[in-house]
Amino acid sequence: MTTRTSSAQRLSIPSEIGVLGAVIALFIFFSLASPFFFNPSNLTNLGRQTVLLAVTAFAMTFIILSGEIDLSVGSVVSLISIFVAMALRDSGSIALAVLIGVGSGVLIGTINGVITVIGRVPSFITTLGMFSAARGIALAITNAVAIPILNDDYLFLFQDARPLGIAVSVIYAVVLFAVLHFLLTRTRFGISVYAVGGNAKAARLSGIGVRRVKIEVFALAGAIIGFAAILQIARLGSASPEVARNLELDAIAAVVLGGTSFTGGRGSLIRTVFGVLLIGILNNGMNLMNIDSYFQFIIKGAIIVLAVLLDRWTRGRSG
Amino acid sequence: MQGFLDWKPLHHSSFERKTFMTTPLVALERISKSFPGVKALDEVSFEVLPGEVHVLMGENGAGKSTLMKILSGAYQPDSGTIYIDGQPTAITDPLHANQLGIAMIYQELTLLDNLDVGRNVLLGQEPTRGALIDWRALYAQAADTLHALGLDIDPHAPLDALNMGERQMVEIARAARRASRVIVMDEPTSSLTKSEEETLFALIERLKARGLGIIYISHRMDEVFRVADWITVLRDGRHIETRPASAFTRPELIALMVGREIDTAVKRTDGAIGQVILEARGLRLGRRVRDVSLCLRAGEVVGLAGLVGAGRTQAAEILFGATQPDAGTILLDGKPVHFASPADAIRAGIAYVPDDRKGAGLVLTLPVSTNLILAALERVANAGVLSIRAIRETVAAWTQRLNIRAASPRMNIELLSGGNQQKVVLAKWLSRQPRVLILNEPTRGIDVGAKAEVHALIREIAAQGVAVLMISSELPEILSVSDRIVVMAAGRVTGEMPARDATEEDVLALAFADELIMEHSV
Ligand SMILES: Nc1ncnc2c1ncn2[C@@H]1O[C@H](COP(=O)(O)OP(=O)(O)OP(=O)(O)O)[C@@H](O)[C@H]1O
Ligand SMILES: [Mg+2]
Repeated sequence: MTTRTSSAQRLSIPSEIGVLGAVIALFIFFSLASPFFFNPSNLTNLGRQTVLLAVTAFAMTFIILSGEIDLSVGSVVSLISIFVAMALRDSGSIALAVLIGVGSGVLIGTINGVITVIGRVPSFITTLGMFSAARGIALAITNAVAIPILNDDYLFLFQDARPLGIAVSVIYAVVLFAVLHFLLTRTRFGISVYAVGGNAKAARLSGIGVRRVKIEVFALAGAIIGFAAILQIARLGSASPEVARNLELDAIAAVVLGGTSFTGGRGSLIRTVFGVLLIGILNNGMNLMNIDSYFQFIIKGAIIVLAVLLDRWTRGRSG
Repeated sequence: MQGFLDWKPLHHSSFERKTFMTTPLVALERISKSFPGVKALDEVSFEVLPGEVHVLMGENGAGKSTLMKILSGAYQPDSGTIYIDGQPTAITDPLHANQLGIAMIYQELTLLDNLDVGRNVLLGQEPTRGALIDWRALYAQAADTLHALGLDIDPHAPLDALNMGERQMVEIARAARRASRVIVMDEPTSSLTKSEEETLFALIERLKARGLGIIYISHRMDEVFRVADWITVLRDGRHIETRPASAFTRPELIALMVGREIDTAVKRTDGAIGQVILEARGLRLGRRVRDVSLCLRAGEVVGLAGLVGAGRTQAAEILFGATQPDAGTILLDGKPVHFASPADAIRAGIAYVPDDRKGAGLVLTLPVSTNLILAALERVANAGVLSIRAIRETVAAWTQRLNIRAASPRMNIELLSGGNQQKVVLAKWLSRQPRVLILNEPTRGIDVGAKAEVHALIREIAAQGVAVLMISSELPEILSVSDRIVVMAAGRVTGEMPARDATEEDVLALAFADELIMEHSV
């Protein structure tokens, strides 16, 4: 009989190890299957490709933990990237462009939040509307023509710089992760997000402003999405109203793959990182192996469902 | 493999069960079950005979619910055997248990909020006509079941229109429909008042007469001695004693459960009663609260009694800002105040321990420690950043003070036993050191020893000058802990009295007073 928990249980590693195991297995598999996978330039590339998904999935984690959903992230990334590109083109000021990117993200997120919370429209519907509207606005503003990014300083700052030999966008993603992880686990706001998503009634009776927290979550997610757009146009060298299609689905998949509960209140950003790595490695590896893109969709879909099945199954067993 | 020398009699006591004549309906033999960090059951044996009420007693966390979840197929034992009519049987899941005629009333209600009463009662047993559900038959059958129990609940009523006591009765009705062999009742009366209890006891008699076996778990001594034929005591996951109920005395039973002798009498220290802190005048809310005026004084414990549905919870929620009244005023220190939300009331120094711990008291997805500090986040944070040390200290202090048994404060609250969860809800609010403490069924599901400690704590808090309002369905608790008793019936305050020389009859007369009022007002 043991009366003390092991440190592994206290850190709740067992339930996360499943996804991490899958990540490592996939990494080893592609290293063996493709001669191009495990080399520095591909790994840098993998990192850069995955940053957009990672940052978006961070935003999605907050939304899902609070018991909501956001289907508009892909469209909003494309819309904000247009705003940023236009600000950069017309003013030449990187600071202004960044401010506009993050600011418009906060604004759009707040709109989603207010309609959902104050207007009592399910977030699935609110953000489905935003999904359609944001893409429409992006197409209308640009006439469906991409805007090139010609500002070298901007490109250097958000894409080309390689401090310590690491792609700068990856560093931004890591720093963002650290900040958000702290926010989620070590602040009143973070605890409130979990409480609101886990049991809104109990949260309210505990004196937590449920509506306020939810609107703040949407606003925060918007800011993060704005930052994703800033990184994205630097990587592509242009802002296009067509980018980031299906991004919302990949982001939701990454969060759920990590094991964060779809009904809210249970999960973590660390889990999301594992989910992101799984999808990122899968995308990169399949491209290297020249797998037909139709098949890529099929394989990805199957792996997502299988991984979650496996996770539920092992967790069901253990407790 | 068990060797010959390991053999032990099922019950190591001098009282012989009548198992020679009758095969037990179900027998659990040497069941063990461990969870991470705790051995919940250690070779426990237990059985129930036809027409018998076998009560299972033990402290919070002793393993009672775990044993019953094994019987109902919700958990699989690590070792041990279940016999059904003498045949070893593996119960694979709750549905299988249902098919074997075993039904369970879980400690935490399992009704579906989004369905109405009728659909809940017949969930999974809906009558069909061809491929379609026969709705008329469904509601007719539900009405029959409810009626047979003497319940005045509309099968079409949405579940969220019901209060805790009514929900509990629906849960009981559902289980009674399903049981054909054994019915397990895990603290069925924790939200019931006297008159619903009577309904339940009448039901138990009828089930006994039909030859069913009843396993009954409760921390309420009075009702245990009233319904029990046999009593089995568990302690720390081990079988301690099995005897006919008549062979136990109350102190003996408590001592066996706790492992030492304890005194459960409440010591009322007559501290000075001070100024009125919180006052309510003419509160009204729909049909539930028709006219409630109350005042709460520093240093005084006011017991709020009444039947289920009397409007006590709604009145408390209005005082706490959780519900907005249609009419009425609330005064704090003599000045009118408006609480737009619980946050406002909390800032004004009011705390509210709700009765529905699963739905309103706890966030089940979070750990014990987070739940415990959830109502006092600003106390453990600096500029919004949580202090791990402050959290650890608060949690350690209160788990010790209320003897909360958790393998680790980081474990999920859902995995705690019911009574220990309730203690966390209490700690969550007591740690705020409020000026006004509103308690709704504070000792719901708490064992006898801990209950005495909670009662002492309530008196101690009042002695420090806190105004306490305690809603309770347990009359002995109301009578022994309060200074003053206020009784509500059908949404109105029907009277109040000093607790000193009040009797159960006095309180009940007022609790049933609405019937008189009704007759006069019609
Ligand atoms: N699923 C689980 N995972 C981990 N621990 C558990 C789980 N279920 C129960 N436990 C632990 O097992 C022990 C026994 O719990 P159980 O619920 O059986 O107690 P109980 O006798 O019903 O108590 P109460 O009177 O408070 O309802 C407790 O320490 C509890 O924390
Ligand atoms: Mg229990």
